[in-house]
Amino acid sequence: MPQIAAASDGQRDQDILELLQAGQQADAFGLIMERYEQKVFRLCCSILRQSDQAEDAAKESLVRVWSALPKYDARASLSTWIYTITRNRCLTAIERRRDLASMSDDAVALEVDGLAASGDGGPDDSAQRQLTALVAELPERYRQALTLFYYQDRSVAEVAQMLGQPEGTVKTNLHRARAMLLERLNALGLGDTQTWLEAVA
Amino acid sequence: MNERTPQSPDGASRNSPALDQALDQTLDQALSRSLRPPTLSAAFRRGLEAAIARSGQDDHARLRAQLEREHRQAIRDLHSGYIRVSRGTLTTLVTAAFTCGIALVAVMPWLTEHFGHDVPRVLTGVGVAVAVGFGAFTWWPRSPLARLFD
Repeated sequence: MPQIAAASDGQRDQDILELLQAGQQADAFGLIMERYEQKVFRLCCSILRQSDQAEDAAKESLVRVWSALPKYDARASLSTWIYTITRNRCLTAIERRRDLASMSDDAVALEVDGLAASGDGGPDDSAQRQLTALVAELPERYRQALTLFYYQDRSVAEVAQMLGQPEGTVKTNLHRARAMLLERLNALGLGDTQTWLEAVA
Repeated sequence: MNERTPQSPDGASRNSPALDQALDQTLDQALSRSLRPPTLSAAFRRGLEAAIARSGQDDHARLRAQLEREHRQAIRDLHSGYIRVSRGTLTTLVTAAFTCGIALVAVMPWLTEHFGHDVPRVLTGVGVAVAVGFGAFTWWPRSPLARLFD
């Protein structure tokens, strides 16, 4: 329900800030977990692609949030601070394994299979897998924006905040991602793209 | 910054020939169905709590290790300072003894000429006077009497 979450993060996190000021770090962290646990994980998924590594990165990010919480000075909004920590942890994870940037075609295929395995297993599963594969092959900035956009109930503002980018940049990346997807779908020669997509939808 | 309502990524882009509205909507639905939010495993929260507990222990261990390192460094500094002072004192004593010996050899004929058989007593008296003078000079600044004259 995106409309319910319409209050700005700054207002919404005011209670967390008050708890922090009162020295109730554990309670504040409880609320952070309630509000950001899933978002942090989704951000990690969109950057790292693989859910087990994303879980590890999300865990490390939240541990870091916990240990740095007493030093949080509210210069940036809480959500921006948490997402920045998360992105940095993801970059550290990428540096650590070093193979993501130069993932071989086999690795991409493997990952795509893993992602598509979460489908319904119905008759249109192969088409869905094919679409997911095309998304996985998009350039990083387009893929991250597109996956987060759908993970976050199509909220451009939320995606922009999570990726630390201006909303205009996110919109541009989303538009280019979709245009690129349609181009590649047409290039696959699937016949009528509209009909094919309707089968997936 | 608070656009939370479902929206198309870029309304302005619909003029593109590749993206007519119907196709755009179908692609949107297909992507929405294919890119569903991943869910955390049931063990995530438990693992996180364990990791947080471990990080607290790590913090204590890190602090303890740092304090121990600083303590060891302070002990090393004190020890090296003590050895330096000891070496300085020893060097001064040895140098002073040699200097006194050489000086004594040089003035012995003159002393024998003037004091005859009393030379050992004279030398002992001079030695005692020098030792008492040196002792008094060293002790005086630390004595309670010195404070009376300040």
